[in-house]
Amino acid sequence: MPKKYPRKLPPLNQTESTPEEGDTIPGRELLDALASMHSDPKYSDLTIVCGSESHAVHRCIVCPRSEFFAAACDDDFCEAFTRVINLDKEEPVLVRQMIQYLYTLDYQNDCHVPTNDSHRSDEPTISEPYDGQPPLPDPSAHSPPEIEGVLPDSAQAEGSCEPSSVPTFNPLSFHILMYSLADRMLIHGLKALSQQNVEQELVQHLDADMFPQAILEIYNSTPKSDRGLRDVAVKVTMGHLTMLRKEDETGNLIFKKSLLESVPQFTYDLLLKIMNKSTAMWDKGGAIQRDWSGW
Amino acid sequence: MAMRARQKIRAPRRGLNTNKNDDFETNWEGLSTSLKKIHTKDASNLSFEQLYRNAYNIVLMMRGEELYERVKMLEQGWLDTEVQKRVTVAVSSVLLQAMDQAEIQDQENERRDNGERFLNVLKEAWEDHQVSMGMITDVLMYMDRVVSADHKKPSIYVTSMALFRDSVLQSVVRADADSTVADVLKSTVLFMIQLERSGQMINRLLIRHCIYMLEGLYETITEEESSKLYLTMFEPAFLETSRVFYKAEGRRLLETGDAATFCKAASDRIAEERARCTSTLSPLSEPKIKDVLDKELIGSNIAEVINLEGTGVKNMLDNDRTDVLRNVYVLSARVDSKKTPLTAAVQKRIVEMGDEINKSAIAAAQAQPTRSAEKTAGSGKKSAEKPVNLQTMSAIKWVDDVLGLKTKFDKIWEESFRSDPTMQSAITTSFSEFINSNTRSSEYLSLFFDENLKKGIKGKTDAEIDALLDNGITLLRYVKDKDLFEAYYKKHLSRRLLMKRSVSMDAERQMISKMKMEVGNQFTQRLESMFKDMTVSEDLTANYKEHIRQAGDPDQKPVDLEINVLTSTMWPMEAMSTIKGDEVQLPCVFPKEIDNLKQSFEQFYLSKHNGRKLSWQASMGTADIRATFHRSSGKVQRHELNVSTYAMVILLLFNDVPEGESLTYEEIQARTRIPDHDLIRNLQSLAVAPKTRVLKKDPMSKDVKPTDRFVFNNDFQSPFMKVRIGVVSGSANKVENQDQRKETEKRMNDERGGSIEAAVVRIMKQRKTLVHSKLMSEVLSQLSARFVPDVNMIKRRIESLIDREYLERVGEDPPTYGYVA
Repeated sequence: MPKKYPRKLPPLNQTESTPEEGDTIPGRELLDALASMHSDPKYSDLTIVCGSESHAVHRCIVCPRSEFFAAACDDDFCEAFTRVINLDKEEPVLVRQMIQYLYTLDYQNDCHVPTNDSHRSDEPTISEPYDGQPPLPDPSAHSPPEIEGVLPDSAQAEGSCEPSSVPTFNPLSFHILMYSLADRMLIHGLKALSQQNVEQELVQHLDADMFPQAILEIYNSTPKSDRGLRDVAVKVTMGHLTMLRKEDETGNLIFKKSLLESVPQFTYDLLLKIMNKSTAMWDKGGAIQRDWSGW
Repeated sequence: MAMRARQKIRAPRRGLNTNKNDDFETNWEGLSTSLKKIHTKDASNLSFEQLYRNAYNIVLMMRGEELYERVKMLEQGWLDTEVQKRVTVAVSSVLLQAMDQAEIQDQENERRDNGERFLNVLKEAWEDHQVSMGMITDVLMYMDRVVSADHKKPSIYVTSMALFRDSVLQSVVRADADSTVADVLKSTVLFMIQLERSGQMINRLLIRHCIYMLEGLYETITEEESSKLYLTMFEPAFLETSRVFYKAEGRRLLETGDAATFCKAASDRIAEERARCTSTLSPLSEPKIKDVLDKELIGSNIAEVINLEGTGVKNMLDNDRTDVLRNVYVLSARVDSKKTPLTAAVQKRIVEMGDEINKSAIAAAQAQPTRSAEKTAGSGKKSAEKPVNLQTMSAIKWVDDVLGLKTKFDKIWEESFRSDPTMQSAITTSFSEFINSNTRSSEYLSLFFDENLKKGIKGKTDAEIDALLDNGITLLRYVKDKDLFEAYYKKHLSRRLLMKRSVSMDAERQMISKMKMEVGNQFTQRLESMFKDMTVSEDLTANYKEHIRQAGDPDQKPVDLEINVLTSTMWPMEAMSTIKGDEVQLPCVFPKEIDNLKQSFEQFYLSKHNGRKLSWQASMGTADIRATFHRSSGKVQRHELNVSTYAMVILLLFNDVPEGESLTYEEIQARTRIPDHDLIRNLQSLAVAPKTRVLKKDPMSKDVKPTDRFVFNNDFQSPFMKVRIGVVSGSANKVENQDQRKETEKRMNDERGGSIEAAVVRIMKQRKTLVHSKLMSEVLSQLSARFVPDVNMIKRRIESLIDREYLERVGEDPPTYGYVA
């Protein structure tokens, strides 16, 4: 079962809907009608292809929400003639959920990746870290030996419901990648939703495996100018700094120095935050010393 | 700052950066080839998704800014080489040579063809650039968001538009020439407009498209509205050439010497320029070209047009050219809210036409004395009657003429001047001016009402009567001396009432209520009380009859009495009585029968109203008498005669005169004491008028002399049983002669003096002390509804009040008065 996350709207019962009193209100009617068009080829006038999957969608739903799709449909490029938009470089499961979002205002953390991953050789943009030191696992294709043992419970549970040969996303990565996709496709609502999900998920997975990986993914998957997830990363880190830096019995800690080395932009953001915070406290005339010379 | 920080941190891993550069170059490679394809309209095989991803990748590498610069360079290169060449090639030498000359007749067609070709090329280049840049901007959407936001750079679209401006529009056409493409564009468009203004067809849409380009490009990268190239580069030249053109056009049109042509042409030009702004140029220019037209074409010429000899406003007014006048009005209203030249011309013409009406009325009035003098000398008094009526007719004609003029100008005002209030007040002023310049206007107007209420409204519908009276009331509005009008109206009304000459009492009452609405309650009070006297008198007559019947008077031949008791202060007694000057007139001696009746009524009346005095106005009454004529053949012929009271008195004398004997004029006068004036007129109607000769006069002549003898005419013949014997020129309301006129004026002045004193006292009683000038202005404003007081008269009255100790002087500088209680 896909794990459900809190949403802005009450969940749409897609399988067997028992009509409730609340379902008859007009706003509901429109949302239901939109949801019912999802994957329905009737009236469809655009196809989004990704890997082996092909989605029949409606320009009137897709284009007003995304400047990318609007431009692709309007300008005189081949997409306008073929009415097909090929998103082969994207992850099919993400594209599928993105389309679901466009019709239902929500998406599921679908941990199942189609077995056919021949396209994976093309290395999606998001898995192109420019700082490769030390090599981190490709976020879109987890290498089981390193992570399997420490997969969060939910991921493990998901993993258990499918044969272990099928590659899976951990939920945190999924949301981070969804955010990146939404940014690229210029779907603002989806960006906001996935950012919210990332924050919730990140707070729950502050462990030695997930934390550094998430930071790395966040800083690799969006351009520097996009502050959304970066601010979340700094905020969560600051909020749990003591816990992250505390050594356990074996002398291990979650926030290792190596992370600062491998993601300099994160280091920069974090340092800036710490400096601002410290000076702000001094200005308030608190008990803390006014300089660091005694540290 | 952020960038530098990154550089420093990343310094140790330079080795990796070369790898990234390759990636950048790969992405750029694909991108730049595709961008060129977009410009050459060869994009249908390109994948938007792919190009977008290329640009996105570069931005993700944090090299968006570099991408921006590369694209900019690429665009610059494309515009500099391909587009600029395409456009400049289209500039032919004709276009270049023609730039400085305003008009080259022989090359007109060539220049026009070349111009259109050039505009087409430019238009296409611009539109292609817009479309291509639209697509490229979409491809670079992600870059634009990041680069524009981070580095405060204009979007790539804006930048590329500015490039088009610099590399294409502002590039020189030939290496050896100074002119830029923009200069050629400007001169070509202006040339086309010139062609259109001279009546030729041009390709408006093509020009509009080129103007769209100028409206879409800006001088500055921040794209303020005011920095549109259209406004900075094109519009000033357009307005300047228009100014020159319309200055010349105005002179040319004036030279035709026809105002109608000018107005038509000007209206057409206005419409044409407005259409040009919407269809050919830009709506932005509409208010500005309107100003040019208003100033150059209309403002500096309209006064001259209005006053054009023979075709100007005077001519239009005379010929009721409402359509042309409307044009003149509309044009005038554009340039001047007061429309000074037009109002002046209209006012001048109204006063001229009004003066003519006045003059012809005066001419008729003056023609009478001379003519009648000639005729009296020749054929006696009888003929004098006709000119008098003619004169009354001319008074009525004056009113009709003024009303005709009013109708004419009302129509013009409504149809041509769009019911403009300014024009209305100008017209009203002028009417008032000429109407009041005729000193007899009040009298004429009252005569007009008199005539209509006596005869004119016979057989007319209620609506027609209403309209007729309204017309008269309209003129009354212009009359300043309303008190004078009231005096005449009262005089004329009293005759109508007493002589029962009104056709319709309804119409009379309607008239009063109309006047009440127009001039006010005070004005009609006295008139209304005249009506009241009449009604009261009717009852009185009936009551008296009843009283006589009950008394059972044994009188064998009762005389029916129909009496009108008039309140002397409300009725124009001076107009009715014949008392002249200080001369004491003894009352008329009534025959015995009548005198009995008189006493009987007086007894009856005074028993009811103690303390009143009745004075009998014999000159105003009529009587029905039965006359018996004994023919020489022995037959007896009876007639009923309707005569004036005086005539009755005269005729009754003959009852006591033996058959065949006569009475002299002097004898009649001695026995009746009828004033000379009335006696002569009554004897004239009884003995001279051919159809009503109940008396015979000796010697037979038109004039009545004191020595004339009169004898009852038993041979009187008339086809009718009832014979009405009117008094010669006695009872009809007509224009006053000079003496009467003088008297009326004198009376009027006395009455005004009283009104002024009353007003002064009223004001001073309230204010106690007041400065002279303030007192004057208050008196003037209080009285202006009735008449325009003479300032000297007010001063004299104030002096008189001081002498009589109603007021006192309380200050000298400024002169101030105090009220003496």
